[in-house]
Amino acid sequence: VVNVDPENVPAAIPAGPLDGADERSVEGRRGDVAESGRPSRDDVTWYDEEPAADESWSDAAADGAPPADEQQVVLSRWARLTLAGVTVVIGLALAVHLLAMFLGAAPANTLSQRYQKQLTTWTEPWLEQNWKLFAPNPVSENVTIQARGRLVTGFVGPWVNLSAADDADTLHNPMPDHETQNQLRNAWFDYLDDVPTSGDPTTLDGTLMRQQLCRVTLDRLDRLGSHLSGRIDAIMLQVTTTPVPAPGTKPSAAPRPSVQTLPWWPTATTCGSTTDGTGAQ
Amino acid sequence: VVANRDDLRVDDRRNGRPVSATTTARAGARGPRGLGALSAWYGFVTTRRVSPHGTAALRIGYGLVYFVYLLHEFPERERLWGPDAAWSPAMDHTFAASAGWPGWVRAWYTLFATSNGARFETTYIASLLVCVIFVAGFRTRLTSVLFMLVVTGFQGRDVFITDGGDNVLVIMAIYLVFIDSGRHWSLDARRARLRAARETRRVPPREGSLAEWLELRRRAVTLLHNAAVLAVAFQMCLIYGAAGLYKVQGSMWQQGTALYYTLHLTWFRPWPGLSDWFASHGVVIAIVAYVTVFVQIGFAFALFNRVLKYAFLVVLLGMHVAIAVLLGLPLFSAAMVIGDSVFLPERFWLTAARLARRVIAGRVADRSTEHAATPARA
Repeated sequence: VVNVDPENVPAAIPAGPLDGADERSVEGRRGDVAESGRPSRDDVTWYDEEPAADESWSDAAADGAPPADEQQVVLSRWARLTLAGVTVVIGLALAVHLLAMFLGAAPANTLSQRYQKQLTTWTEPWLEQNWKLFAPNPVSENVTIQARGRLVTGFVGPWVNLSAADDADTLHNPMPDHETQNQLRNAWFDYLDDVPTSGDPTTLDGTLMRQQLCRVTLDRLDRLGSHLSGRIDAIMLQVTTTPVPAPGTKPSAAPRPSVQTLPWWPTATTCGSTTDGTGAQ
Repeated sequence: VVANRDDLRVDDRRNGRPVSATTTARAGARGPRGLGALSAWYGFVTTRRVSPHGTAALRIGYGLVYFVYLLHEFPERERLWGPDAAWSPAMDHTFAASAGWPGWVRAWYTLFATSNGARFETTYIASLLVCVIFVAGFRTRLTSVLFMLVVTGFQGRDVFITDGGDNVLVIMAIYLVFIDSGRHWSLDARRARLRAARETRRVPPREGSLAEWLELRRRAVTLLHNAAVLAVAFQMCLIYGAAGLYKVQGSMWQQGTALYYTLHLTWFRPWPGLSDWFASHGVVIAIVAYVTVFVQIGFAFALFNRVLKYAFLVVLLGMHVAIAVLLGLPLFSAAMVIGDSVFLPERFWLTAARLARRVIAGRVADRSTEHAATPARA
């Protein structure tokens, strides 16, 4: 039998069966010697927040070693089997979960298409992911959204620049809020995604996105001032899309903006009543 | 048997598979191989919680980020999530109903979708409180569930005003439920310490099946903790990998002009002068674009090399600082940096804690010297 040097015990073997001992007295972890080249502190008792992990500099730094005075619980056969079973269940669940997360983040592929139903069941609604951050190409055009309102009498108010208000709120603001940064921007791009360029939405999502854009617009008009006295009966949006000129483009050669004017949206039907929150199922 | 080999024997008993001293000695400091390594690994993941301080930092970090977020949006809360918000509670209910989820998922999704103003205000204040309690680490396991409900609750209330930062936060808040993050730097830890100090009398060891049951539970919980920490690490790799792989497909990233365009987007230009100045340096922009793509794609692989790992983490930190300032996305950046911190070793956190304690102690000492000096001068 070879004499085992106690200072040379493999690092991977935990020093004991109990965890959570870091708040209490702690026996030095000999295993770290091999990695850190530091001596172990076998007889140091820590009551502070300086657990034995102090000695384990590795990335796999472990929670504290067991307290020397605590009894060591030996698991019986059934307990070991139960633990093995739990390990298998957790391991499988983790493997399935990580695979699902991978497929959720990766582009659509044979695997994710074949198991799409199972995938959405697993990941919707909370684990949906979209990491196309400024990719494949970042948006390279600026959008200016203007709106105006119309009264029942037919009187039409002037155009109000909603984007300019967002720009003003963003300027010199180290932490623009979600309303400034996302609300109108997302409402517009979601609308573009879900509603056909000409005409009415054909899906429920499209209807909801149009309703969202309508309500955001109405809300902004209320706040910024629509220059109208009275209840706004309809709203109209005009969206100017200006491509960002490529680097080094002369101002004279700058790309022309395109203007998109949407039809009048009757607020009562398209926006829904602003206080329809009671309709919750 | 040599007393010093106690831990080895413990391991033998635990796994029911004796590791002979000869085998171990032959394997030497490099650890056992084959089945022995597997059994050692099994012993490790069921008895040791990885990164106890690092996960405490995750808890504090994400709790703080969400607290700051909710506090920051406080003046706009009605507009974003209230009963009269543009995305009304009714629309949220309609949306959830159309998704084809089971009833409990639908109920969870619309948890905060209420048309009752008082209930909304109460929920908002309670959510802020939950964040505070979570950061403080009071009854952490229970609080982590509440925190997760808060984060998912706001996400479900209006998913259309969210961005990548919210996406990260939701996933991490769910993982934090499974992570034992209250062991350190928490009120729970303080309570445990005080209790331990109070109990001068040694508690008689628990015997029999109760002890066994407790030990079994502890190991299962440990395993769950480790699995969730792995999931956090995996998630960060996934974000960077996916973001990088999507970028290489884009002609603007290939050309190195992507950042030029990004810096010209009016919604992301809090400092137009700075953005223009940066955007005017075409070569720098191109290099930064390429470094960004390389680091994002290579991140998961760099983790296997210690030097590369830290180099990549530093580059990513710089990237996030730039995103936070130039694009006005501090919360997204904070969520990502906190996620990155899962790759830091315990050593980092302990050193940081020690430094912090020293600074605090130094300040206290300074103050007491001042106090001592004042009457002398008078």
